[in-house]
Amino acid sequence: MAPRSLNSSADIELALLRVGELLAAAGEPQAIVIVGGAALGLLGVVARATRDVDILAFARPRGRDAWTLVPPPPQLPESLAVAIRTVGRDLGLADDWLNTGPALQWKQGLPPGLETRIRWRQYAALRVGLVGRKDLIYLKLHAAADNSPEGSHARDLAALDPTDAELEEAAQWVKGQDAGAAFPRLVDEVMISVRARRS
Amino acid sequence: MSARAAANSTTGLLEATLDVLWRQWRAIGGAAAGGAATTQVDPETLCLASLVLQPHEPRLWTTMIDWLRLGAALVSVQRLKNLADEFPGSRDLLPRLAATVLEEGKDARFRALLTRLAGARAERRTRIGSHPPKQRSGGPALQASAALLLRLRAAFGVGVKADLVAFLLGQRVRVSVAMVAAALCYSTPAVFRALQDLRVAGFVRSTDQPTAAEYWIDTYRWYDLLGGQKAVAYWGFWRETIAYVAAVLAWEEEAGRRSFSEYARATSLRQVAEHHEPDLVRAGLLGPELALPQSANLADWREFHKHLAQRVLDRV
Repeated sequence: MAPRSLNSSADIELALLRVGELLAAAGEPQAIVIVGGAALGLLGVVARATRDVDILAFARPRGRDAWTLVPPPPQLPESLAVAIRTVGRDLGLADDWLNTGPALQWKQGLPPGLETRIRWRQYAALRVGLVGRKDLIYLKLHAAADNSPEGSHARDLAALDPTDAELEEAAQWVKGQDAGAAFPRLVDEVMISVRARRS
Repeated sequence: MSARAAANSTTGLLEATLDVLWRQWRAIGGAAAGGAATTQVDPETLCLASLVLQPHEPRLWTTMIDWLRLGAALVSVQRLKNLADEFPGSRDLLPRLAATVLEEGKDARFRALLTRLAGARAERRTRIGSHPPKQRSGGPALQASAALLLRLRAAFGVGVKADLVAFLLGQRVRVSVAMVAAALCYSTPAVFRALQDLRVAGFVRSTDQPTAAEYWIDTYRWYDLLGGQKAVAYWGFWRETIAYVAAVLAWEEEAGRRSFSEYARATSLRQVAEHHEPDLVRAGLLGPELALPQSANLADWREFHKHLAQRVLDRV
């Protein structure tokens, strides 16, 4: 049977809670920061189905309430990997439904101040950080420029309903992420597309 | 489902297993009450199971020690070691059993089980249960069909060949070396060499395929010697069966100490069961009529264990 998608924010929350419960049973809590469609769903920005949940970063406690973000390790901790597979099996999701696909973003850099805008949620022994709206605009604009002005990333960006000022600010950062000559034009095309959806 | 309800999911399985153990002790001459045992007793499995289940039924210890006073010579110390890992917690308890058997049964072979324990002398004083004040059993009873393996050991000595003959006499179908090794917990080379010896001696027959040979015994030729067809019981695959029960009980104890969610409980129980699945299939407990639940729902596992308990009782 083909893996199913996560169809709603409740579906995503259930999957994350199940992972947290297995981590609790293993006695190995984890803290992660997620981006992408799942983060948008949990923030109530979009209601579309998503195939996976993207981990941008792991977090290490720093003091009482502060967290330091670190890049995801090349291989997930065993307890987390087992929990992901187990929950995937039980909920009919892909084996890699919770993955570190966006980890490459660390090579290009994260939006400045991202970690200060994270909103944390606790799912048993799994602490999940949702990046802020501003960071989602940055990252979605970047992904849309890499992908297509009409694709799902562009639609997600439109759903975030950024103002012109927010788009301009994001574009300035995104254009600095890729040295390709054509890249600034691609960013502009996405911005035009998003503005067109707004009207 | 609460933790208590989860624990109750294995109560029936424990009760069925205890019933099996009492029947088996009785079948081989132990001072125990219970119904008849119709499949072969695996004595090392019986000892290890009695050892790890004695917290649930302390009289098992007394009955075992009472029997071992006269029957220890028919028990394989090597197999006790080989099988110990299959029964959670038994490695810690074996030295105590060995110390008691050394004292009560005067069987020096059991000294090998003391070597893992520092301060064995101290352990001799730390016994699990009380000693039976007087000998209650008359020693090993070898005539029951369920005691066939002990009977063959009494005749030919404690070792892989007597066990192989008992095992093969208790089969309905031909078996491979790998299957025998897995079932008896001897190494594959040891089983292979012993089967070759038995084949050359004309006791065992085999198919011709050199790489995938299957072995069997012409059982009917043994009937006259052993006392007829009724003297030969089928192999019970009790190691496979009771090791699973012991693993589930150990899981339950561990789960009871920690606050797992129901989902985590069910998935960890499923993990235990899936680890034992090949054994349960070999034992004939799983098949078209009963399969492992795939779900992470404790109610499904309670239902599974209820059916499994019944199947265990049906096979004793």
